[in-house]
Amino acid sequence: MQKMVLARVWPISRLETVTQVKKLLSQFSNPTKLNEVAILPTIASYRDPMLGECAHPWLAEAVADHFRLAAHVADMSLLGYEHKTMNMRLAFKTTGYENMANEKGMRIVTDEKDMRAADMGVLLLKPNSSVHIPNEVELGFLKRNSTNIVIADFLISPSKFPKLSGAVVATDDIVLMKGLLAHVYQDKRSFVVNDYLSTLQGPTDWIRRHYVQKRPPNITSGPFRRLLGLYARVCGDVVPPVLQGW
Amino acid sequence: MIRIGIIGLGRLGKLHYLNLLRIPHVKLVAVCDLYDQNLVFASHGGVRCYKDYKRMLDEAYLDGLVLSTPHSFRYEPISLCAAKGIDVFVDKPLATSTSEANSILTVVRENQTQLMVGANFRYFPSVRRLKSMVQAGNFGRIIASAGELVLDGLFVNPVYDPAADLDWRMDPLRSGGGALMNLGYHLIDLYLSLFGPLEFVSGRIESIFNLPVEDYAMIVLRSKDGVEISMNVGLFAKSVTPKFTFRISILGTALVESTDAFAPRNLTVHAAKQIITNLGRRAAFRPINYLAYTYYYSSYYEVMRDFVMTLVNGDNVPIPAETQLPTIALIEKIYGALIDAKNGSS
Repeated sequence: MQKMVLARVWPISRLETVTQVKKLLSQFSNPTKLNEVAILPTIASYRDPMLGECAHPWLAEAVADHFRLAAHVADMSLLGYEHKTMNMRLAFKTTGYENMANEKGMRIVTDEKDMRAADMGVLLLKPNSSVHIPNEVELGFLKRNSTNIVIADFLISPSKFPKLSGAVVATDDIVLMKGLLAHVYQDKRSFVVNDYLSTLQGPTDWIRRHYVQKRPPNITSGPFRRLLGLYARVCGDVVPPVLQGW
Repeated sequence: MIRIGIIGLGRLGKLHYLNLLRIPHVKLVAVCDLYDQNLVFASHGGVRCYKDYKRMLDEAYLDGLVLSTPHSFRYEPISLCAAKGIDVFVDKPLATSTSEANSILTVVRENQTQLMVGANFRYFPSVRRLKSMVQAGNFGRIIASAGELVLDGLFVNPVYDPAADLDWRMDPLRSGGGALMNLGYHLIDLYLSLFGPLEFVSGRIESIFNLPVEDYAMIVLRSKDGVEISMNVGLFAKSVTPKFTFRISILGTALVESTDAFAPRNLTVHAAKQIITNLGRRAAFRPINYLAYTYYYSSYYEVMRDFVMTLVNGDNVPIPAETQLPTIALIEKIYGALIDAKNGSS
């Protein structure tokens, strides 16, 4: 049976995050001996992970600590799929994953041919993704690894400024997690309609208070860019290349 | 018509390209870049594309050149242009060291060509207003000043900025430095124009994102009149257009004022107003204010227009390269002192 568990990290700090995530992980039935654990964080920018564009490296640190102690894992790897818009080596460096991996003795793998099936796969989700449907990379990762845990750090709510709620959720079912994310972010494109909050253990009102709010307009988003393009064509004005997608 | 070419079609090079197409008296004849994906940007409209800048300079018969290359690649193209009598507009910084800047100035003087540096922050209306107040003595005795410039910088949305483009900016040898060289340069240039010669007092540089170049710098300077200046520059904050974090505050015995007082309070509302104004101007067949809706980018249009107009009128360029020597010398001195201090403490 699928399981979803919730904790609140408060005050938000490295120590408290690691402690709470380790507690969450201990609620899943983990094997006592694992050879390899692969961790795939979703990273969408080079920026500070506190902005909510990347899963926070503190989660990966907690995962590493938990499985080293609970399952005597010999080999820990941190995976990043290189693609044309992201230099994952650089992203691991700027978001703090590289330092964490060195500290915890983890292998960083960004070349797809070096990726292999691990005994346990842990997917770390970025918290405010706009589309809450498992993407190709995530599904590929989940298929590759037979046993999986998905963690969303939930540290950030989608407002004009990052608002730290401190929620951390772990599950062994990505669809359940994506459904919850869709629900709390009121994603109209969600394919999940059930009230997943009711599946959570513990009080959940505070999640709603933190998360249910309107997203601020972003001038670089599609409709704004199209309007800007229309204005530029009518007036003959310049649209800076950075806003044109160059 | 002035025949102009561009070397370097990165983020700024592309903006210069679009601006030059809209500046009167300009015929944009050739562009040069190493990467095909950048040349595609300029592959229409009868502009010739080159991958070899020497060939472009030989074949295009240019009157002026816009140089928008990595910071370390300045001397070779400028000296070749000088030898051919071509005037050059170069993005800041002029060079990454005083020795390179001096070599560039020597070759430009020998050939009696013009070299202008695109120190576009001087064109912000808020900066011009504050400068006029300083010159008018409105502040009384100026005691101190604070400057802030914090941008996305190296972390522009990766969807729009392919990672390959980031490489040279993260290489200290090619970029000459990080936040101090990229952003501190603008503030130091402004402070030199406001208060005259400056001396370095203390500071700190740091790489918050574990990069080979610093992404944060806090610098304290002092003018010869005793004005204490503290500067904070950083490449760490999420900053999406039209958001733009820049301010200079001046603390005087008669007045305390900041550029914020003369800048639009809400840049999104400002953008909407400017767009409506320009639509009205277009409907009335009047010239529009290019890029005014962005506030920040309009300065690039203005600085380029001034360069072109000096070529058309045969005047001297408004920001000659000589004016940039003190900026480069001060940055070099700051890096030297802070890196020595870091090595000493480690």
